[in-house]
Amino acid sequence: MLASLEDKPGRVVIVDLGGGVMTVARGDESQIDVLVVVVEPYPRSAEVARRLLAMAAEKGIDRRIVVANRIAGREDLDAVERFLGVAPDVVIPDDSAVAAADRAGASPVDHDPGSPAVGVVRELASLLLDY
Amino acid sequence: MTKIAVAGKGGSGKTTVAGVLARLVAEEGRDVLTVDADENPNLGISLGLGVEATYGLISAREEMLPDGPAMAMSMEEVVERFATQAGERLKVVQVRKFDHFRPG
Repeated sequence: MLASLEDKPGRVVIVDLGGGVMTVARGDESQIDVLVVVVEPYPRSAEVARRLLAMAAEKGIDRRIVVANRIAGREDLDAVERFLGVAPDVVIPDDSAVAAADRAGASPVDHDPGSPAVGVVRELASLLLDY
Repeated sequence: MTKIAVAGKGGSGKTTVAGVLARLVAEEGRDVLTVDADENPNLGISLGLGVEATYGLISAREEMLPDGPAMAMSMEEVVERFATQAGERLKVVQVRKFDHFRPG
């Protein structure tokens, strides 16, 4: 699908893939410029992340960004590094504003635009698009 | 054009990250097309569409099947037909949810 889209200058396409590894496993690597892998500080999440990163490397997706999510402190960050084997590129804190937005059925950007988690995703945007 | 895919274990927060990222990039002045490729699509909520509007979105999936009714359309035309505006420079299209169920 992505390969058939018009290559409009400046356009950004963001794909929210299904959970797990199958969409990357089955996907065509030429369609993606950057793979963002979101991981929580738990072995099950890190195992999926590890497989995604390995798959992406094998498929030649050279830009791979690891986002550690719901990180409550040093222990969580250490857990991600320990389980995944690499340090994350971006660390999103365990931010109650995100859960509050979820409960409200709203985007965190609208519910609490100044929240720490939104601030970190803003940094991710800069990292991805070289602002 | 930059194509970014967001992946992770289900429940890891990837949809929230994808949606918030898309909103922030659009607010920086870029044209953003978001593609919800999850079978249980929720990206619209993280984009700010609200629960009702998100669950009311019609999926482009059946149009994209080999025997789908719109094979004569370009992918750009499919996006135009099924994408919903989620902000001034932000669109979302669902591509995996089935709206109708059939054998096979």
